[in-house]
Amino acid sequence: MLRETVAFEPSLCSGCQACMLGCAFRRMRVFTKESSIYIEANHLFAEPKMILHPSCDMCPEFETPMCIEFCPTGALRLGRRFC
Amino acid sequence: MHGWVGRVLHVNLTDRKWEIRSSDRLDFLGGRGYGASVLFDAVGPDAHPLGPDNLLVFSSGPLTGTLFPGSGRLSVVTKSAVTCGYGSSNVGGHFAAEMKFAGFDHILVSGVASDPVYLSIMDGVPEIRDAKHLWGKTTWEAEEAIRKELGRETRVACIGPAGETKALVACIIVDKGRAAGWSGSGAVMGSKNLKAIAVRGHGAVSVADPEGFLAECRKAWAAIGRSRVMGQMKRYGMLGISGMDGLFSGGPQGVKNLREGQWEGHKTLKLKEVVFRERFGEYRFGCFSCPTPCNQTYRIPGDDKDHSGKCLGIHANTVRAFGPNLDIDSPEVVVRATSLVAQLGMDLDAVTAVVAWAFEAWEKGILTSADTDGMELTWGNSQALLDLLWKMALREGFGSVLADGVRNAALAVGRSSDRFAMHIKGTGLNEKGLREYVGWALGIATSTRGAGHLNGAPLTEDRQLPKEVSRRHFGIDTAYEPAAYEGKEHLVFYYERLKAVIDSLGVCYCHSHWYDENLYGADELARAFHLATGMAITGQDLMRVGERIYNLEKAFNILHAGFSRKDDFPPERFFDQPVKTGRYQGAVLDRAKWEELLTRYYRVHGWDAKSGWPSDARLRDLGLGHVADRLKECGRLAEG
Repeated sequence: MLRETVAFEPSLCSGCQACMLGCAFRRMRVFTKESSIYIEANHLFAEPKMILHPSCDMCPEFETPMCIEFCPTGALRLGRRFC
Repeated sequence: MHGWVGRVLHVNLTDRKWEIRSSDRLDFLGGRGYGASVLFDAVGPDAHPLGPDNLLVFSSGPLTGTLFPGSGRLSVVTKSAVTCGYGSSNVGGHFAAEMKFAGFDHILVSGVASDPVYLSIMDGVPEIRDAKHLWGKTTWEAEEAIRKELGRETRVACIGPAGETKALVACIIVDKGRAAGWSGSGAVMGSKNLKAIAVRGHGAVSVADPEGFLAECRKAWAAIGRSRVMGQMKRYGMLGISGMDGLFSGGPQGVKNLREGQWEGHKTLKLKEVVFRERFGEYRFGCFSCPTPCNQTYRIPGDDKDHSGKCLGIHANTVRAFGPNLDIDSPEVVVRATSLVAQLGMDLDAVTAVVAWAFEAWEKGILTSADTDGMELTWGNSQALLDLLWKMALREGFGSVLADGVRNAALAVGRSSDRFAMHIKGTGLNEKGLREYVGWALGIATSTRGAGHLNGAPLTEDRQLPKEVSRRHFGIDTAYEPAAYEGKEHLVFYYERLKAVIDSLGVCYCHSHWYDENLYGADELARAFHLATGMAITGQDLMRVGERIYNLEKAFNILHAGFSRKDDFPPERFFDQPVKTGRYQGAVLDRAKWEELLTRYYRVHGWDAKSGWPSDARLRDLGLGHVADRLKECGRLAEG
């Protein structure tokens, strides 16, 4: 079965971590990096990495998940995965 | 408390103690305003910038760490080692937000450690740690070593060898390539034996009205998404907008120690944005919560032997510094020089000013190989530049003459070389357009941190928009007319207050009215501030806070460095050497008109036209009575 997920294109990611802020804000109404999505991009000259925590529910109340809404470069987008 | 996280860390390195206090001085917002306020009260005019009594303030703002666009800005405020007056830097990256997540709005460092140390703050817990093993390391080596000790997610602000040798061209480097330049901040940090500050936290920033604030953030992000200039910024970085090409192409450049306004076309083509992007471009780099990542990493293919083949962030001023100003047309050299100044911890604006001065002194025969350790400082000699960077950082040989910046180098060498030392109030110049754009020049010459276009200098003057647009946005007819003197005092007054507010809120100037009048201005910032902190304020009141901050900085300069009207002039070169070629051929500043403009500029501020000092009435009106009293004690307060 196919389910929606957050797809990541590392070559487009700038490491701004706005996705993490958006995700955490939706759940906790504060700004923190403790979110369901994690972007490791603090090592220059290396490709960023994305980790999606199982707690991600794809923001069902929104048309677009918060992390994708606030991604400025298109590195995050809606994707599908087998489950 | 909303917006601010509510805690300030005071560290005294002399007795290796620290204290945590509640965040205060909220009427100065945070960031640069907080720094100016605390510096004025805590550092006396007798304090040596490189002594234990100077204070080094790392300060975020109430919007830092939120989803407001560009909320990753850090202000570093100190008594300037370059001007001996007010010093401030503003730097992006991720440090400021991480500092708030680690539990602190501001970090204040005083005293001098007996041995090299670094300060770590992990989830609200400060620790002063030994840094002997880091001393002598480049900024990149030090950052990597600290990450190994404290964890991969640690964010680091550190100095390189230049800061350790207290070179006045030294700065503080954040995220390996973002520089808190100006003011010799790296030398101040080095004088305290403080190699680095490392932060990491899992905390949060709360806001008073979460739903309202999120809506305001969405509006600001959407406005940036609609902006044509921001679109260019996102795709091509700062280099694509203000570099050798881009939206404002064909405009002025700073060539050969700023004596010429246009570089030869074939050389200009070699340093176009597309050359760097296509030949060396690697990964995009965005500062924290930034919708328009203007940074990129660059790597010279196949050259990893000493790490100087890769760097972060080649901007318009980077290319100007290592390109036309030194007559070097090699993009590889620009990459290497950018890499070296970041690793050695040097301010590239200060570096190019002093190296360009040395090149011109060589050309004029004032410097010979007997002075320069055998180096030939001919225009375009890229190897000499790269060698000088190392020598300056380590204070070796002729490098020690250059290490303290262009004013001090000219004083040391003498032989009338100060005639072409390009500085204002001791601060080295790396600017284009000082002859061509009158408002731009006024903003640079009157900047409270000595010089530089990131205070009051407007970006409007090459846009060629109609008078009606100028009137609507600025209340004057001439905002878009480069050669006009009329009204430019109002334009600079507007931007210096806006910039003071933006630096104090902890957000990025690039997303504001400065680049595009459709982006956020004082009213939008006031709404965001209100929704974040719960403290109601209007845009007009916010601009008044900006004016208060600017007056405080001005007063600090008067008390500490004795600056007055005579210090608000660009070097003679810009009054007597017109632009020779190009669109602005013949452009040069007119001394009589400049004098009149300066007088009008002071009057707009309520400052005395003769001395340039603030008046008692204006300072008290701004709630700066204690500042007026201090100036009066020293006999430097204007009547009225």
